[in-house]
Amino acid sequence: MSTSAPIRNSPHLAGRSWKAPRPLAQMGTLVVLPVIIFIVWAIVATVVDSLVFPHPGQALAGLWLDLQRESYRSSILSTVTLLLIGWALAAVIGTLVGFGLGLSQFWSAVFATPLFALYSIPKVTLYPVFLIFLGIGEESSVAFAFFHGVFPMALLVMAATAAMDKNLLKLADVLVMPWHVKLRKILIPALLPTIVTALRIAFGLTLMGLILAGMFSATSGLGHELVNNIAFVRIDRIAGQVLFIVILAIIPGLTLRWLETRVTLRYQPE
Amino acid sequence: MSPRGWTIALVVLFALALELSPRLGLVDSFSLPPLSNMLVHAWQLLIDPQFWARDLAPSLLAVAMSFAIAAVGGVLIGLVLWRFPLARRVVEPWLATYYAIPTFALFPLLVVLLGVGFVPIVMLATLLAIVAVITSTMDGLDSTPRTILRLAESLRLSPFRRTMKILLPSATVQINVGLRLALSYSLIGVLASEFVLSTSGLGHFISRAYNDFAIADMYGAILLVFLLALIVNSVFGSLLNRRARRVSA
Repeated sequence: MSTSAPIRNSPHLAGRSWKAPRPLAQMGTLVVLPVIIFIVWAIVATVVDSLVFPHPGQALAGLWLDLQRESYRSSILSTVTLLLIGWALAAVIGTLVGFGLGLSQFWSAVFATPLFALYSIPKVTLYPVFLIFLGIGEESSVAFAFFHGVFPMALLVMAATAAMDKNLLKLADVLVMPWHVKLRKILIPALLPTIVTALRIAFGLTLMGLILAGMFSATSGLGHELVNNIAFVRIDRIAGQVLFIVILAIIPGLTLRWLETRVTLRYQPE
Repeated sequence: MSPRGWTIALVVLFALALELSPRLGLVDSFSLPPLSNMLVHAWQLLIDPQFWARDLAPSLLAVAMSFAIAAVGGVLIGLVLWRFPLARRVVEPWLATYYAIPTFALFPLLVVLLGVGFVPIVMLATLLAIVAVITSTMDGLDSTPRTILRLAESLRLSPFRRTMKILLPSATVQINVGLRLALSYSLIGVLASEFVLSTSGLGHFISRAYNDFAIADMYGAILLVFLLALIVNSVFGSLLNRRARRVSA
């Protein structure tokens, strides 16, 4: 669960009034670090010149070969599908549960500690239990991924709901607001920023859960593909697939982060 | 009844459910042994010195090492990034997205490069934990009051003394939050790595028990993992709280 200080409080903007970041400049800054990493990687690989340390070129070539394979493409599809399902389930159920609990101070106090405890234990060790009850296959992977994502979702939405000014809800009752107006005018501005943050965090955890499940026991999927290559020390394939997974995660990750900034600015401009 | 009472009641209810459902035949007792059975096996593992030597100790050591490296390295990197805004601008958007990337996917790569064993596990857990410390250190340093920074300048403090006497103490609260997260990530990273690919450690014990159909042993070890996580997190949490009170008092 990481949050970073609002951009406007950064020291490098101190002394100037905060301006909206320009998208092109932002994208330029974004690219610098990956480029540096790539260059350093290439240099180290060339210097080390070992059979087991992949050069970025080798990784890309290996990835290209993999992408030609039908089974790899269907692994990608299956992982992405399961990720979306698991994440959507975690989002919906986590939000509903968090919201329900957050409305009552009493019940959020009751459930806060167990939820937080469940969030911070290494749930990966529970995976065999999922396998025992749901069998080896997609159900256990999705359930496991869902299990990873639902707790931070519920916790964050619960905290945001509890922090919401309850007088606004009472005002809505007094004004006899229809539920959709209440939703649009009160609940969404109060909760959407936290929901988007929680979506981002849940995304990372759900993907991690899915990949872990794949590495341990799945018969297809990106995690499984990775582990397949270990025994044969197909270092170029491994590096290429890791690169692909990273890129696959970065795109939604950055998008969610951008969405989060925009939603926070829109609904909570402090 | 107070909220705490309800929480305890919930936990007790859950424990009862775990104990009774296999016994009453609601759940097949091979898949889910009764809770008392799990506890007995957990106890048997705890008093077995081989378990300690082969599984528990390596895990604990890996967690301690990866946490230590992540804590020290994270604070240092956080300080450097805070001090050099240009570097921070380049790195910061990636720090925010870091936890969306399944860092764990790097583990197979590390194993192929470094062999199965202690080193890739510690490396991976460190990588997982370090960014939490970096971001919270930066957050904490950001909140240092400007008058204090100017005071440091007027006293002509050396960078080292400024860091130790002013910057770090004022960032303590946020750094503590980051450290607690990092501990939790270290634990998760170590156990997940051992679970997927290792020859020793608690995570490996669980995966091997599953593969060998030693289900009762598996559940016993899972209980131990929960216990370990709860104890480590709460002890560390209270240690940090005490230290924070001392620093800010």
